Amino acid sequence: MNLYQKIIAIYPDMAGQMTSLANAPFRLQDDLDGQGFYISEWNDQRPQPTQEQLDFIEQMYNLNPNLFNGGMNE
Amino acid sequence: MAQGFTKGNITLPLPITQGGTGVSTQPSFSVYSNANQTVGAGIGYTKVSFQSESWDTNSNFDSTTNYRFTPTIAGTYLFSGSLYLSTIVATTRYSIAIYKNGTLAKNGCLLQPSGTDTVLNFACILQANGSTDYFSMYIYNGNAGTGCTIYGNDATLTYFQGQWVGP
Repeated sequence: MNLYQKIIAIYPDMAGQMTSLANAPFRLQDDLDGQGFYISEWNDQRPQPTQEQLDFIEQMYNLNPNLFNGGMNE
Repeated sequence: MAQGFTKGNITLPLPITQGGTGVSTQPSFSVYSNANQTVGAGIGYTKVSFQSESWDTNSNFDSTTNYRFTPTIAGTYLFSGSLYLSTIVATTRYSIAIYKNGTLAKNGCLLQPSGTDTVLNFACILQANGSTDYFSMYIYNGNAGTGCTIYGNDATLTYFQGQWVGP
């Protein structure tokens, strides 16, 4: 489960907004420094997910991937 | 050796016929990837690594660690580049972007190819302060679940270039 999918699991409606580069609610970036993707911009009025929330989503996914089918690959 | 014409931080070369080198000292580089690079899935921007240099007149391109251009002469720079992508997903959007100081500066054309490979091209003009400003190329992969591959080891297909063009 990648970072994008974790964010969409928290805010499913953002999947539709991410189909456009313009006005995307968030932006992910990988600087090849070994850290992988991180949130480089957050443009939504709702709060940016915390690392704790993202970790929790991954734990839930590992327990039951079927809970996260909607929007995962959009 | 005879010197060129200098005004401010700009030095134009003296022609060979007048005893000069005829070669500009303004920064210019052309680099390419020496191996394939895997781009991860997840709708985001990934830095492109360029480990080989065709030229780098002022040694301003870091082709070892950060894969970025930090020009030591202030001015306006023209950047261009190309990425050959394979194992792409049809109708997914891909783009080349130039980042300045780690922040998105210019985005390139957004393609939604129908095949399994494509070539992205890009050009833009940006200004540099000649000391701390640096520039890197990123690729945008618009697919949440599938990454792609940047074909490397071919300077004709996957490259990044920059040239000082004016003050």
